[in-house]
Amino acid sequence: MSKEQSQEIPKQAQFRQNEQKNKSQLNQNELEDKDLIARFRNEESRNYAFNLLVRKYQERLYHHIRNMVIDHDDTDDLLQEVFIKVWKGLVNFREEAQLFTWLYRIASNECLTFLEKKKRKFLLPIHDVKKELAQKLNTYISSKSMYFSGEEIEVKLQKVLLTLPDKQRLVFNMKYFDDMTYEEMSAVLGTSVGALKASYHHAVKKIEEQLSQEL
Amino acid sequence: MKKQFYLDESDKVNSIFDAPKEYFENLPQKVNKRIQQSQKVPIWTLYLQPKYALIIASIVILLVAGVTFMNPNQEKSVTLTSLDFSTQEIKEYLLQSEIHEYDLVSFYLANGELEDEEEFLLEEEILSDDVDVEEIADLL
Repeated sequence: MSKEQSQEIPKQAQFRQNEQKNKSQLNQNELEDKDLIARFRNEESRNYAFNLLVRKYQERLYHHIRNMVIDHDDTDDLLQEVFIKVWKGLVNFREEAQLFTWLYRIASNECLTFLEKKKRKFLLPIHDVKKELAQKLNTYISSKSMYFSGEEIEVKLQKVLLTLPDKQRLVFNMKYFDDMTYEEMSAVLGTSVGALKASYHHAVKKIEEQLSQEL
Repeated sequence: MKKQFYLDESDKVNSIFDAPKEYFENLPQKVNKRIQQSQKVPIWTLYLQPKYALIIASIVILLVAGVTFMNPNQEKSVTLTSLDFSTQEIKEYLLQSEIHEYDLVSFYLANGELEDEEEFLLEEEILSDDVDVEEIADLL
């Protein structure tokens, strides 16, 4: 057996272990979600189940929304709206889709509608809304001056992301920051896996080009 | 020379955003409060919502249209019952109106209420205001 082959075996074993771990985590999540939905459908345990649901998903949804709208107050409003919609719709939720996919779909739609409304409300061209988001980002960075000087790769990436179209930014965030699979993203956005791969690939190319110039 | 940057080859870049302190501890309560407030909305305000207002307006229009078109003879029958006058009343009305005598005579003759023209003229004189009392006495 060659040296390269012997190194390959532990790698494959680790990959399989991780895959099994992910699968078991996924199954556990599914079971918990089914249990939550069942409890929510029972009027006596509805409030309790909803409370558990909010606590379970609030952080993931918060960051998903925050990466899109940048501002904390806007994120807070949208996140509350998302949970109110969940409260109203969960009784009729068909369990063909996973709960978290459905939650992400509501949150993604809220973000895109919010940004679209902003453009229409102020009759501004797209770059002006982008400018507003960039200003909010700069304000946030300066408020966190103890953590960021502005030269960090994290800050530069966020600034470059704002130059992308909203939907492409959404696809990038879901894949890169939220570690979602293309299949999950397809279920959330109702777009084909092929189109999502192409969109992510274009986003990465643009980001790499811009970051290469800046670093 | 600028260094080419590859996203997949570099360490994972994390999102820079974080929530204020205790935000996630308080969020479930805030959401619950908003849900309770939204459930307290009085029922009558639902009727002001365009969706429900449209449904109610459609029902009212359908009911009115139904009553009008499904029962077109109703107005006629009401008119007929409300015109429940005696023959004598009708005669008096016709005599006082400006209808020509000959039209009245032909009306009565057609309805078989008069044998001939003289009978009508006699009746007309009796009902007329300026009839002489002596003439009436003669007639009687």
